[in-house]
Amino acid sequence: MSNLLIMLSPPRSFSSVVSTMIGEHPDLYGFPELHVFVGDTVQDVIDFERSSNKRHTAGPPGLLRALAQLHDGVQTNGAAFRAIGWLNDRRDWSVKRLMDYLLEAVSPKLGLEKSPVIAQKQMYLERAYTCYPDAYYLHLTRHPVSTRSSWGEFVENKAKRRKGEGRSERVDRLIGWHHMHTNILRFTSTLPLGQTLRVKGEDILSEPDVYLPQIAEWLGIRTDREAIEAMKHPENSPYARVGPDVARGGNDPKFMRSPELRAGRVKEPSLEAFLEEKFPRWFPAEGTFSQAAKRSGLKIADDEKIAEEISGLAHLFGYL
Amino acid sequence: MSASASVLPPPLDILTDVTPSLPRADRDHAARAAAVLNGRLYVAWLALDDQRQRESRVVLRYSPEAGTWETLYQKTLSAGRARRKKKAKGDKSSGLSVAIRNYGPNEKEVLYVEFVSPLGRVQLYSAEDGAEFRNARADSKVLAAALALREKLTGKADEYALFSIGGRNVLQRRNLQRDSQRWTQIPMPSKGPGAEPPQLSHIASFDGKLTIAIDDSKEGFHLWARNLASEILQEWVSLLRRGGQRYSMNAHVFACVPWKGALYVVSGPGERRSRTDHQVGFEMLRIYLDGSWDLVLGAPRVTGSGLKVPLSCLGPGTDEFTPARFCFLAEAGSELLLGTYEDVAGLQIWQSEDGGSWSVINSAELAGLEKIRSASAFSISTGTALLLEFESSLRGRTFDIWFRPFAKQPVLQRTAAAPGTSSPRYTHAVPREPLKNEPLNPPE
Repeated sequence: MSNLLIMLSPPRSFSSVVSTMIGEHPDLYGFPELHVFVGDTVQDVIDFERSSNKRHTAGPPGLLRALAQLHDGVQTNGAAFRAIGWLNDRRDWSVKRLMDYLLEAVSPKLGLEKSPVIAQKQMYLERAYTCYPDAYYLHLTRHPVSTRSSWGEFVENKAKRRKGEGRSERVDRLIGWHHMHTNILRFTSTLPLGQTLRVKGEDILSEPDVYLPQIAEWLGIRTDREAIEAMKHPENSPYARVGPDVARGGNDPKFMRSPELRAGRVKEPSLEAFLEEKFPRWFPAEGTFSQAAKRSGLKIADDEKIAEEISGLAHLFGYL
Repeated sequence: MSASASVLPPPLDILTDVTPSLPRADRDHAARAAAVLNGRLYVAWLALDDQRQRESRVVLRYSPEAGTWETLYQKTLSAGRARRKKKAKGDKSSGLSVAIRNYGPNEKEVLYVEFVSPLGRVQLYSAEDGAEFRNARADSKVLAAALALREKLTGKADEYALFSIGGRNVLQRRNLQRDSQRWTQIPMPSKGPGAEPPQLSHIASFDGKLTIAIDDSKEGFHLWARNLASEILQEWVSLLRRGGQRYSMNAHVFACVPWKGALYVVSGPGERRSRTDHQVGFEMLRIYLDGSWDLVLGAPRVTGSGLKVPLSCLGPGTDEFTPARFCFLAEAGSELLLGTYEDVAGLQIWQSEDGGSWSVINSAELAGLEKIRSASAFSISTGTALLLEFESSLRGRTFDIWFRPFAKQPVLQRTAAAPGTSSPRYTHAVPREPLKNEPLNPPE
């Protein structure tokens, strides 16, 4: 098999903490969010990053931090600037060449890449597969209600910091949860037996001693106590802290501020109760999506049908 | 031919077509059903002619030792006569249906048959030796119970049965020594007050325990067990939860077969399919009484009891591109038989001697059958009978019955080449004489 493990999940699915935990296995190297599969070339990746965040003009912070760490052994502003220069000189590289370079740098360890952004489009997933057809693909899930809540909180805070108030009239984030998981399922269902595995983030965080050895077993790497114990300390990762000013980010800010694994059972809310208490407006009538659908003569499915689809997918993942 | 090939033993017939010879009109476009009594296979069917003016009702019995069929009941009814009779009975149906059930305590089992057609309804019951059928005019309660029976199993003193009552399966028990006619309902495990009644789908006797399978479209199936022989009303003990953590993808249990100290459960997502239902194929799990279990066939996954990978190296739906449909799972002496159907691969009969590794044992004729609608397996005295209903471009809707004898003295036998190899695989099977297929007299 490949020397790469790709974690697939929507944002706000415990992906930072879980990927960092898994990446702390002695036989693995957990990268921060590299965002490499959003384009064909390094130039595409830089352009994508700039279009999605105006502050990220030089490339994805996670990628710059990884380059700084691998080249200089530290993530200082100087090392990050050198990484920016290095990356700028290689704008014509394919993303495959860049990823191969990173994997070579961490060899013989297995590289772990997690970028929730690649679940946004089927095309990104296909690109990852085209580059790494033998990679392991780990599908991480989180309860839709807690994902929605966490996602909403994250976006609102981000918007408040920039504009002073949160954005409203968006498509409900449960739609995003459903859309990205559907993309992942469509993709993973085409993979041969054993190349993909699905795991609930809540299970890993609640019972790491039960689930982490299974992931190691699946990857064919050490399952001894020392290896599993190392996985329970995500705070030891060089990416488990906020990066240098010129490359801040690359992981969930909340995780980077407090990266330790917390003991205890992660609660799973009830989707049924949530839908009964607060039935979301999936597509606000005045929202962009609804207006575009109206202009195109498309009809959006009934609210009940949408709720049924989301519940069906949640049940498939083991959420009630 | 190479030297190595010339020393191979000749291929044996693994499955034999024993379909009774009937006039085409009676065999095609007919409703049929089968049951087993005293180790023999009984097949009942009902055919209506194209003008819907005349129907044929037949009950046949197959004796595997002799390889022969005998006609036990055969009647024809014209529309005119049926109209006169229906005035009195008032029975009517737009379609054809046949039901045949083995009902009664083990020592005096009786078959009950019901034929329903636009021309009327006829109900029969057999003598205890199953050689004769009579109209069941009286004792309608027993008949109704027999026709509602889905599954049953017998303990030392009690008999347990699954009845379909008002569209829901209900588990009942009767004491064979005290009052063999009185069934009492057994309370089911419940999720709590206000919860929906559990959807009981199968029962099985497993290592002295009564095991029940409960379907759950949200959480996945649950298996529960309790002592089979105990008189005391016991608590149910959970054996396996949440569809072996495939959750709603294992919502329904299709079969529960105890074999060699373990319970083999076939499950899947049922009929619901949407674009998000990837890997919709069925799975097979092997469960032990202590609650430990193996994944025999299905999707690798992390679970509360460790990483599960399929022992057979087959994914859901036997790894076909379009997942194969489950048809049957049957214990056949020293082997298990699994029937699957997929549009391209056709009907496939899989065999396993250890429950973990499976190989296809189809004969060429069987694989050539078109569009299998259903396939059922019946364990009879010396082997397994398969009732296959299919659609043929030449014959329309029709059926075949095939027979596979129990393996007794294994010999080396050639089967299909293993995937990815050019060499034939060798399995053990028993040599036997081909069974004769005695033609039946056409109905009057």
